[in-house]
Amino acid sequence: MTRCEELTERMPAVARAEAHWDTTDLAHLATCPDCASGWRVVSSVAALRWATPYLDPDQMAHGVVQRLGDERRRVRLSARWLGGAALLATAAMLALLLWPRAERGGAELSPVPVFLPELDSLTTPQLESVLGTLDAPLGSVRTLDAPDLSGLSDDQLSAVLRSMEG
Amino acid sequence: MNAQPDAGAPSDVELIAAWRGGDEAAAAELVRRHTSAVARFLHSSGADRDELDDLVQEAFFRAFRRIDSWRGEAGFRAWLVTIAGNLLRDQWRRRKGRVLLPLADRELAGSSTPEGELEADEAADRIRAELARLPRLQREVFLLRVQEGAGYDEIARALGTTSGAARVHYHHAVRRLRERVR
Repeated sequence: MTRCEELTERMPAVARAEAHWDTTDLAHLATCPDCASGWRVVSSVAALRWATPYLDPDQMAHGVVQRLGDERRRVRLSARWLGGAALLATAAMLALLLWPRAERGGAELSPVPVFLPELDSLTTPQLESVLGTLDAPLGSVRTLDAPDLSGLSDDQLSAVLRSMEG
Repeated sequence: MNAQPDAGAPSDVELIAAWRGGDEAAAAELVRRHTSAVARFLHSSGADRDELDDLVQEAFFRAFRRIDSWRGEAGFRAWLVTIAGNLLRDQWRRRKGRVLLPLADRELAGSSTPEGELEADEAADRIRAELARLPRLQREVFLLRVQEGAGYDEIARALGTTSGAARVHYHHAVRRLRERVR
């Protein structure tokens, strides 16, 4: 470390009155323009501490603590609000999950109206007959859309096929 | 570099622990202890007198809000100063880099004569203007070292650099200011 660097290192402590220059240091400062101007800069900046506008620490503390308190209260309120909202959301979810199931259970017991106008003109025995066919095994009942072809010969069946193909 | 509390008074670390536990009085004590240093740093860095109060309060507020990020490696004051430095940088960015300095701060104490006082005001403003023109790291290292008497190790921890780099920044700052203020 050069003499100039060494002095520059010590400048802050001397400027803050925590150390002092000895006679050799002063002699160097008197003959070294760089160190002399460096010392002027450092001591001027150190002196700025006395030029800083005064801020009342008690007033500052009051202001900061008040803001921090407001912030804490806001956070607490938000947490409560969020907790309430979460509770409501959970209740709504449960209601959605459970209520329709109960409704569905009820629906299974009650008849669902099916409107088939073509059945309106039938008498009760005829309706019972229709119902009977609904419960019968497949193929045991003749219907119009599926005629019973079991009695037809091969030639007749071929004729039917030809007629379907046009 | 932490302010030396009176004998028997709780240390910064103890006060911070108390604040973390919800003790508002501990926060108030920390603010009282470090208000002058934060104001000094901001004012020396070029903050306007009119905005100083708000900036200092905001620096403390932000510091307490993220107190968990302070791990005690750097002194509390050095850490506060870096937060204040960030605030000032944000403010300058909002003003698109313009540094506004008062032409003459009447509260600066200079000489007993009006002429002497004016000269002292102008010299102080000039120094502040030159400090504001320094690269941020150089300015913060320089101010922490000159005004707060911080060592390179502590400065390095607060600013996230090495102590060797902090030393170089200090010497560069001295040289730049020397050339500009000459």
